[in-house]
Amino acid sequence: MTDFPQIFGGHWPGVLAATVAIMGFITVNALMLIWLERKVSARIQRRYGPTEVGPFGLLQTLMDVVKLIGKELVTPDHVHRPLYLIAPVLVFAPLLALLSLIPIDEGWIFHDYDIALVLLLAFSSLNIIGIFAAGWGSNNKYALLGAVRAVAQNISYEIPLLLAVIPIVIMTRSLSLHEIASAQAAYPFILVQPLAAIIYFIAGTAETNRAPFDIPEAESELVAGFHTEYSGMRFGVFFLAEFTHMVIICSVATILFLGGWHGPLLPGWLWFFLKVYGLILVMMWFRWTFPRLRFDQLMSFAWMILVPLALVNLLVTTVVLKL
Amino acid sequence: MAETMELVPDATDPKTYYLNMGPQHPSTHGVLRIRLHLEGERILGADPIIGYGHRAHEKMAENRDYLQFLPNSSRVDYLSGMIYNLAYCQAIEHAIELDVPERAEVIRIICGELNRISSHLLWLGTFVLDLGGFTPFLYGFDDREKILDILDSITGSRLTYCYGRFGGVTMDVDDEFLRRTSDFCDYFKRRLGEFDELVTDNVIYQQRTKDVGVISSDLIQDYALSGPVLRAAGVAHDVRKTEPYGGYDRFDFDVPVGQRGGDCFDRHTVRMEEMRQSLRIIDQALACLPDGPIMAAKVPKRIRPPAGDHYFAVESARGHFGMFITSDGTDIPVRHKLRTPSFVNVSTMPVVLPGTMLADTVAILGSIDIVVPEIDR
Amino acid sequence: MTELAGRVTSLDGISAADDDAVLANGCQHVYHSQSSAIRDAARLFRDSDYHLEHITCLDLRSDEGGGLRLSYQFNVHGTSDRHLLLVDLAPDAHAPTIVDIFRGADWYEREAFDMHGVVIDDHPDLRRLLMPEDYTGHPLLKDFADADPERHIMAAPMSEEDEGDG
Repeated sequence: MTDFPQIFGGHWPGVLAATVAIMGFITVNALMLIWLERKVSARIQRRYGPTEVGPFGLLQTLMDVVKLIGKELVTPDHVHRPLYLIAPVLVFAPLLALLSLIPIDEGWIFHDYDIALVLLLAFSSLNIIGIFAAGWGSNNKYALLGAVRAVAQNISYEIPLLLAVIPIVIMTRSLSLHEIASAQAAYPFILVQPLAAIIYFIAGTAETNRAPFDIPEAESELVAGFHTEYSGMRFGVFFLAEFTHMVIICSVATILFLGGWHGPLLPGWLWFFLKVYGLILVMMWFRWTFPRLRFDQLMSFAWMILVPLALVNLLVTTVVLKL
Repeated sequence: MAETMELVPDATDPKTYYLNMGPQHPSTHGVLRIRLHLEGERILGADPIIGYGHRAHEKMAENRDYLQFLPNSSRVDYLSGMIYNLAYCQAIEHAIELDVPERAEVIRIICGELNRISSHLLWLGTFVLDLGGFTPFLYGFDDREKILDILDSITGSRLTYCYGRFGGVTMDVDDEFLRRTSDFCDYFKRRLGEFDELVTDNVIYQQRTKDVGVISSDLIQDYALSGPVLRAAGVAHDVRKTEPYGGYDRFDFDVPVGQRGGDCFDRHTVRMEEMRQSLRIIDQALACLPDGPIMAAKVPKRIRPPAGDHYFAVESARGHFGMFITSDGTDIPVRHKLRTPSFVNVSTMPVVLPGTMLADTVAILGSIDIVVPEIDR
Repeated sequence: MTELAGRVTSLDGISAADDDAVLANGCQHVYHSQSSAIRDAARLFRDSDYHLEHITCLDLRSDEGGGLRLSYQFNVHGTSDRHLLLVDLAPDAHAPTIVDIFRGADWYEREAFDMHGVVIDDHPDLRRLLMPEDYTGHPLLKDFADADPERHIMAAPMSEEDEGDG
């Protein structure tokens, strides 16, 4: 198998090219996802959504981004400047590293680490530091409440997330995403691990702070949660991070449970993206259907339902494999 | 005067803090401000601070004659303006003992009940929005729009109606109006079932509302609660039943009550059922709309209620709306007190909110269906 | 006259109003009361399961011998049996509180204080209700004239410093 950098001789031009590619993907992907989200929500709500700019309103979000970039970057007086300024970067940066770990097709991967899954889980919990920095540095009670909720929620849901992933690792005896996906050539793991898949997806939705788990930015309670004090492109970066995070959670779900790029007829990468965006559509469907859970209900849902279920699932898996 | 009330004995406790919710906040439905004393997310004390939407309606009433105040009446509560507008007309008719033709009475009831449905629909939408569900909000607005169109066709306005006159109504209804109204009733009966599927049966919605914000019977007498909040607590009291005004006694409808002791879910089910009952009333009214004039034959040019106090109450979408008019026999009232239901319902917040979570605050505030200009008048 | 009305009129300082002299359209019973008797009456209504519908303050000073008047209106759920208590206040405009009897009286009393300047004795938290905390004057008094009507109008556009990042 050829690593992507090796195309360029394994040196820094390859790294650079991959970084640029990922950055480009993040931007285009977020633009399209925001457009998609607006269209999906509009259709659910018997509206049209964006129609004016470009065909089907496709360029609407591009215009919105231009507007956001054109806005003055306002820094409120009362904030802790270093934390306030670095927070959007802290939220966004880990996602870059994360995308480089995802195999899109057989051999289409930036670098196939042996411990990619561990790296992925570690990096994906890093952005909570950025969220907390945003909430704390904003020196605003709503932002702080949002940040505190976000930390509690992310830490709580990390556990069922991990517990749902472990059975797959035990089954494949590998932490490499590429190998896990390759192991599903015959059948996707969701058939043998349905419970783990559901737990992973619920916990993953919670990790992205999306409805019905969007309590850190619950707009009807906390105005805008941790990013209350952010405007312009700084706010845009948080938005970008949320949509990229969705892609990562859904990509990992695809690799772990839906067989990655495996599928009949169509090329592998197309299967991969179909699965990923299918899952994203499900997430959007959640968001526009459900009301929001309350904070304590959310926590007890994680600890009283998801964690025990995941543990039982893990136990059954190990016992079955041992037999 | 500027002294602030200490909500707990030890307000300096470093673990607690104050949070000003409002006057600009997405979930206070206007310019209500609530000063919350919090420990983490738990509410220790709440102090509603009102007056940001004060427009001095009562002072205005003292500076103009009775007819000139008529356009003000629907601005008191802009979400059920028709009910308030007609209530003011009925109060004055009651004071000067003016009889209204039967056709006008029935038209008033149709319009009032349509307005009640539109107000409840807006409540449903914003309430679910407070809980984080965005979609029912737009569904509610969609159906409310149909009512606004119907009312627009006879009143010429969509929100702050001035349709009533002392002695009748301004415009007669035509067959088109009657057809559209009965079409809407048929359509909306089906839609209510869809709202039940989308909202009432939703597990998360039930979790967020059941046993949250219980406004129980022991608060009722203390605060003189009224409307859906009162009925949710299990008291079948409706001004339309206890002191039938404007011909409501001719119609057959039930007064729904809550089954769970007055929590947010009760207030939801009571309002859903009230919409059904309003449809029942409209159906009956459409069937029995008599022919005849829409204005009383002899309406005095100058309105001069006899000297003394006049109290008149109606059941608005939010509860018992009373007008206490003191006249000295001239065309300008000495005092025109508006006893508004939201004012009473919000004044219970210092008792109801403590002990709940921050997220419950928006649920409870949403469930009592406040309209801030109605609180502040 | 109902049994309750009889008990109300038997209280010290309360007398039934003469039907010919006082018109109270919509209220079944009207009484004149001394301000000292309000609390006894309120307690009686409370024990009879009545609730307080509203307290309204009137400025009748332009009438001969008139002053501020508080109207207390009680009613009962399920049926309609309104009792209206008219309390003509002394020129110093003091009235006792009934917050400890009906908690709902809290805001009505604050409103009477805010709008008419009635001082409610022993009220636990007598602040302005609708007007800003630093407001002076009582707007619903008949002789009210805003001493400085422009005080709530922003005098000049905000200065550069005011517009800062905050």
